[in-house]
Amino acid sequence: MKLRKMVALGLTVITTFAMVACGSNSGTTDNTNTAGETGEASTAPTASNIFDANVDPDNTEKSDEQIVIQLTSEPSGLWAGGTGKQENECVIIGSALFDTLVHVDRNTGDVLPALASEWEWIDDTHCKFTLRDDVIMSDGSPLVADDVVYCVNTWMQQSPNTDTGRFLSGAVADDEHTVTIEFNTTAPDFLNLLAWGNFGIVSEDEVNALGGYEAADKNPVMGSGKYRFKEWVNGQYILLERNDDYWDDNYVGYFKEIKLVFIQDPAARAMSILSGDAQVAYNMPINTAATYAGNEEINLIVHGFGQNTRLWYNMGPNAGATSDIRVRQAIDKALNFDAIAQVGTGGFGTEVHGYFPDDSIYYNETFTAEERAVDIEGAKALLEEAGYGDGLDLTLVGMQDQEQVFTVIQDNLSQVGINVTIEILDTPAFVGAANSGDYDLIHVGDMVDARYPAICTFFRQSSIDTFCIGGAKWTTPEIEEILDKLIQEPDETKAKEYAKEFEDLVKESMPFSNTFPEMYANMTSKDIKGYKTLERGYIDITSLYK
Amino acid sequence: MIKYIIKRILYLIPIMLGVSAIIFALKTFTPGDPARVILGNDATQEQVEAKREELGLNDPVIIQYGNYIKGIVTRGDFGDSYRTGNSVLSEILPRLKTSGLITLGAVAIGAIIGIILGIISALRKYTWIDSLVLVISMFFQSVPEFVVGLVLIFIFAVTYHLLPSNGIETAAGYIMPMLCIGLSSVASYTRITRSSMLEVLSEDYIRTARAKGQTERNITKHHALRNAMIPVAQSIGTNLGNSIGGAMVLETVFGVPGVGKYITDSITQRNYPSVLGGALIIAIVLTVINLLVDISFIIIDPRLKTTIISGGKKKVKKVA
Repeated sequence: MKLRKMVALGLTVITTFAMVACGSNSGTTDNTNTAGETGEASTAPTASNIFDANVDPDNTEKSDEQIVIQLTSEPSGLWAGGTGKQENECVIIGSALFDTLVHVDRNTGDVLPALASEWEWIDDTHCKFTLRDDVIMSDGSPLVADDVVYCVNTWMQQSPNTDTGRFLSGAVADDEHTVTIEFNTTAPDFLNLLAWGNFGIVSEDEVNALGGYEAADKNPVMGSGKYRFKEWVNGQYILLERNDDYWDDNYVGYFKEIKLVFIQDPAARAMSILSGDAQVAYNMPINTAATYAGNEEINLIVHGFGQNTRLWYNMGPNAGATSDIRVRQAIDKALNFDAIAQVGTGGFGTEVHGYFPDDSIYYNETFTAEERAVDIEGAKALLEEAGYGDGLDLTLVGMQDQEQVFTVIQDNLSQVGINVTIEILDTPAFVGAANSGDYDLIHVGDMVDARYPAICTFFRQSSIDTFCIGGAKWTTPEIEEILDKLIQEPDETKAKEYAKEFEDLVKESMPFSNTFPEMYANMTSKDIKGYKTLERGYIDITSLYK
Repeated sequence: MIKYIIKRILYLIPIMLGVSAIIFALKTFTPGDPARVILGNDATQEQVEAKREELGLNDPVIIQYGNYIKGIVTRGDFGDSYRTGNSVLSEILPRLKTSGLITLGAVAIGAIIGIILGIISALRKYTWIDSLVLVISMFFQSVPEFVVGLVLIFIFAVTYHLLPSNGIETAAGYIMPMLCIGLSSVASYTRITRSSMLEVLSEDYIRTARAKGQTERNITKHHALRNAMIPVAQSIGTNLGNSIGGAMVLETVFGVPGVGKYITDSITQRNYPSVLGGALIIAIVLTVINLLVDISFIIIDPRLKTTIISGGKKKVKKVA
């Protein structure tokens, strides 16, 4: 009898314990709040805990606190510019350690002075930079023009085929604080590119003192960034410490230390924020993040990053039925773009009507809302005309993070007799299939937030067969010509007209259907402010404060 | 005995050859080019080809396999990680220690809870307590470990802030992964303990002890429990292997830098030297554990010596 009572008591305690645990954090979803902050789409989840990036004022206070930021995976190194690495985490952390010649205002796209106080285009391919004379590197030496020359040579040597090195021809130190960088092609937006984390400046002495490229990559006590490298416990965390000698008096780093931890599982990451063990979970799956709309214990930061996704139709040598424009047009008519956008953005974004993002200065509304409407009968008629009235089998290649989008596409196309086989691949297999053109349909985006020389590579014959991940595997000389003009044009109004010409040209051939703006969703604890972004929507880990 | 141990160690050779051959075969048939992964999306086809040549990926698979095995046998070299350039062995050993600690802790938790529940269940056989114990233990066996893991994080980290939600920077970080894996093995220990106890409790010497007036507590403690523990001890050994598997899954949920997370990350990155090295080292560890378990069986119950060492075959003397 005594034992029975004890067991009953024990069970009661355990049950109460668990029930209280579940009850105190009830419901992660509550979309009933009305104070929507993003306000971009009428159908977006509206809750008072959803915010855009780059909206808070800059921090003004220092503290001795530490912030813990979760990234999805541990980088293999931290010096992207020195090793030619492409890992996102490497660039994000490196951006805090190594400052660049210029910065970019991510709201306006304006290029701002940084290590270079001013610059001047000497001609189409030469830009002269005047360096600040008050910048101190990690080893205590001042920043000089030779450091920039060393970095340019390093980028060219270590990254000859990536955007970090392939557009550079060299650099010359004109004097101690003046350096001229030579590019191998014309593009006024090169300045925008130089603000990317890959272009962080370090000195040769620092790198040599650390033991060369590879050693510096693993133990990067160098550069002149807002934070300095402190410790890397492999498999566990990377620790950075505020650089109190940072040259910009207008910048104040709130946190004394930034600790980067690496957790892949989204649910575990969310719970880490809720538990207070971490303050920021960067790059959550957007549909997972959407379930936390209305949860007043956390903030959701949802933002675009200058990239629209598209459903590409294979028109290259391996193309099957999609080489017929009537099939491509039929698919375009059968797709429910609104539903695709809702699923693809977790309800935060809407269908897109142009190649460039709608907040880009080069945006043109190439498609009207009427043209985006579902037209099943029109699609069927086109398929009939193309000889596919009895149906058609197509493959759609993609990655797991967009599986729900593919299901909507599959369902839409089944309405017109197109049977879509979805092939979900992991990243390496996807890259292999996308490179080889082994698909009928593929769903990928390309970043066009500025006129980098690398934009629209899907339409560059030189890149279609080499490093182009997906696309239609097709272009024309006319399209290439207009892209050259678009990239090289100094006048932005004129550039926008070229962008329109480019879009009209591709609209005629319909190598793709625009689907939705790609978005980042991030979680922070309630008291964190100052979420800012870098290039490609990467988090700026140095701007956060309480 | 020595002969038996040497024989078991020699078994490692076909096991390692088998594991490595399977992974090499998978590597051949799995889409995704390691050279492309290393160089990134922007690399040209020529660069990718050059990298493939450098890594020996253009050699016939059998040559690649032969070179790999030769490296292990002659230099103890499991290769270098494609991603970091470090020796695979140097990357795995600290992670193996982490996974090993979690596994041992999990086995201890599972065994302690399971044995206690099994004893209670046996002593209260066919009562509601017996049924309750069975239901609880089966529950933890049925629910996937990662679900239990998330629930534990929610209760102990999110709600009560008693334990860290991830990482192993402090000893407290080990508790939830251990608990999570341990709970999943409770059912097996409970069942074995219960059935073993019931069997022992029905033995003649237990009846004799009762007839001599010994208390139930004494009978359970000094006679029944000791003899009932032999099969339980054996199951602890075999559960070690399963728990290592469980630890590998949960390392992702709990952000633990163990071998499992290392291997799963390496698979995604097509980092084949790390996958191969990780799998082979785990195969070696499991084989050694099994050997130690078998030896421990002999120590616990010398009657098993003949069965284990002879593999169950008894020599029959021919009568002239």
